[in-house]
Amino acid sequence: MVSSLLQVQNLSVRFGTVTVVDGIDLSINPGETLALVGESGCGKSVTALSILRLLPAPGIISGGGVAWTGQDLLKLPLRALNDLRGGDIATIWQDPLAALNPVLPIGTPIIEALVRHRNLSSAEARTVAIETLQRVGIAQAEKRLKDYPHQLSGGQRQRVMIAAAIAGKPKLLIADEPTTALDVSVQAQILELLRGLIRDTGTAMLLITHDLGVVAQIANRVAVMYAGQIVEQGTTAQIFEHPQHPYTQGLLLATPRLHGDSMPLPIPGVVPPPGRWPTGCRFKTRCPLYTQPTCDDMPPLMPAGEAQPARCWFAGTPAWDKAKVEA
Amino acid sequence: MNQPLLTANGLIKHFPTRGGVVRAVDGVDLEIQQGETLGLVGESGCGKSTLGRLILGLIAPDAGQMALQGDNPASVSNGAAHFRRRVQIVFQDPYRSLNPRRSIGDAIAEPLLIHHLETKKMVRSRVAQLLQEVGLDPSVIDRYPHQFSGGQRQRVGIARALAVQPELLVLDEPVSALDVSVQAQIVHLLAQLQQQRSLSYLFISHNLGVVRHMADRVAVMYLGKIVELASVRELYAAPCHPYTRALLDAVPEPDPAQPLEAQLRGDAPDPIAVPSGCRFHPRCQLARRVAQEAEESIEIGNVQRVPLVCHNQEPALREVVPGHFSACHFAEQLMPLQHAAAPTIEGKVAV
Repeated sequence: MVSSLLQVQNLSVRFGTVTVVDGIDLSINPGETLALVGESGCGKSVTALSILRLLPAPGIISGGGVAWTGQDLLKLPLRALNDLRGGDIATIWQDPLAALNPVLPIGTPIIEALVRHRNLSSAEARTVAIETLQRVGIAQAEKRLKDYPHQLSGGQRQRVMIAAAIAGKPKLLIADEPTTALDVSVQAQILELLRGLIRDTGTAMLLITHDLGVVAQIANRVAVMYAGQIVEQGTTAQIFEHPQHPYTQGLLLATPRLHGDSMPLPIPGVVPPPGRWPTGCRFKTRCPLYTQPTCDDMPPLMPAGEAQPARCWFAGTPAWDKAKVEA
Repeated sequence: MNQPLLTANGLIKHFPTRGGVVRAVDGVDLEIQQGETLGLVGESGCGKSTLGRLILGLIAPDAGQMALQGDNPASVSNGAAHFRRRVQIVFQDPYRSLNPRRSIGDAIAEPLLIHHLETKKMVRSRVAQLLQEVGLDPSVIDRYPHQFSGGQRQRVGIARALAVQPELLVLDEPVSALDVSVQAQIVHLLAQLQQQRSLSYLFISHNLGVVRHMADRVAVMYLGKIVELASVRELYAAPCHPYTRALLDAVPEPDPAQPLEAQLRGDAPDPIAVPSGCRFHPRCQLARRVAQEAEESIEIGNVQRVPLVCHNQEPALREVVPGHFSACHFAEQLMPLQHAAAPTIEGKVAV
């Protein structure tokens, strides 16, 4: 078996007394893109932040571990962790305007990261920065190094942030909603760019997103989160062709499509916020398969150890056939 | 055909800025029939929200006229309360469009009192009825916005817009801030309300998937102009403008078997520096293809050639097939291929 690059084991996160992430397991192999999918408040971004110990106060990791090529990231001294942050593990955030320093030229963070993590001289780093900006499709890169973030469009800023992340050839990219703030035409270009990078450099990626369209385009494997837990995991083909969990099935049916005949199907009710999760199965309040008393016990990820486990007592049963007829 | 509910002609709205004049809306004609949903799509900065605000009468156009069925146009330009009552808006962000310090009952009651449609005594029962119509329990009337989820707040926003019994609702990205599982609930609610009250909608969105299920006709906007207008069926199956086509190609479908190809290069140009001729020509793949056979062509940046006419002459929005309008000199070149490959599309959400 290939030893995984990143392994998240039974990770839990609390904000004060409220549990936000509740015992999740993930692993990413070298060169693989894993999409972590879910709606707002499901804990996907908090999971990403925990991996690099970037949780804002009062968030704390209350249990579990994160292993990076065998080292425990949660116990690593801060100095050693800082060697990894922006080096072997690089990040891309949703909002480049918030992630880029408005008073520094865009070249500075790229060059700094290369000097800090890849032991280049500033002249060498500058050359690599120019090459990388060209690679992400920034024209006149040399001139652009001295531009400030406000002088660029949203799409260009996102390219700059990607350039800063990939310049040092990281082994893992953590991308949190990297295209959500962009127009579809720019999104398509950024997705193409990321796909090319992964193919050419063998970088692994943890992609956090709510957009199943983006997932279908770029991910090898998918983990679906709901109310702090992973409710289903599988290869992209498995998840899209044979979703096992009623929530995954519902998400796919709720997503509006350009082609095909299906109308978007509403999932009744609301996403329960942290602190108000139901006991037992957390999807039971919205699930057409809800059965008493079975679903009042928390289902495990079943079948354990299989390639596509789902956290549902009735995994694999089509849940929404009746609802489709009524809608 | 009946007289349309709303008619707008030659609407222009320019904003002077330090960097130059932003041509946000640059000559738009449109009609909305009673009971119809007109979808308005385009990328950020194309002017779709400005057009929505013009239609609401929130800002005055620099030029052009607008009229509501049975009203004289002067009442629009005066911003009369009467016009405001007939046209209402639902905003994108239900978090920011409700006052956090007022109960939702008060928020919904306010327009009823302003327009003298209810007395203070009776208003509460009317609000309770509105809450029920948008699928909320009337017992929540005294709660505050923070006690609701995003989808529920959007229902409150819809109830408030409906309170004064408008005929036209401008829906500005009404589901974009909502989770996917909740989006469809709001889409269905809007469709249901439209049917019950024979409402007209101007549905503004960048999400082409949602528009396909909401709209009867769709207008595509690019840099302040409508470049294509057609029934939803026609537009999605056989787009007649290269921009529409590229936009549709850029939407990632939730299907790993349909890989995406990025057709559009670069960002949408600045509405301050609008290109000459056809506004889309610097990004247009069709223009590049046509240029290879065109008699007269011209070289533009990055060693691309485009037909001279695309560079020099602004195309008018013309009827290419009955009911299908495109502002492209070479619209016909897009047609035959696509009609052959047109997939079947169901109509909008049925309730």
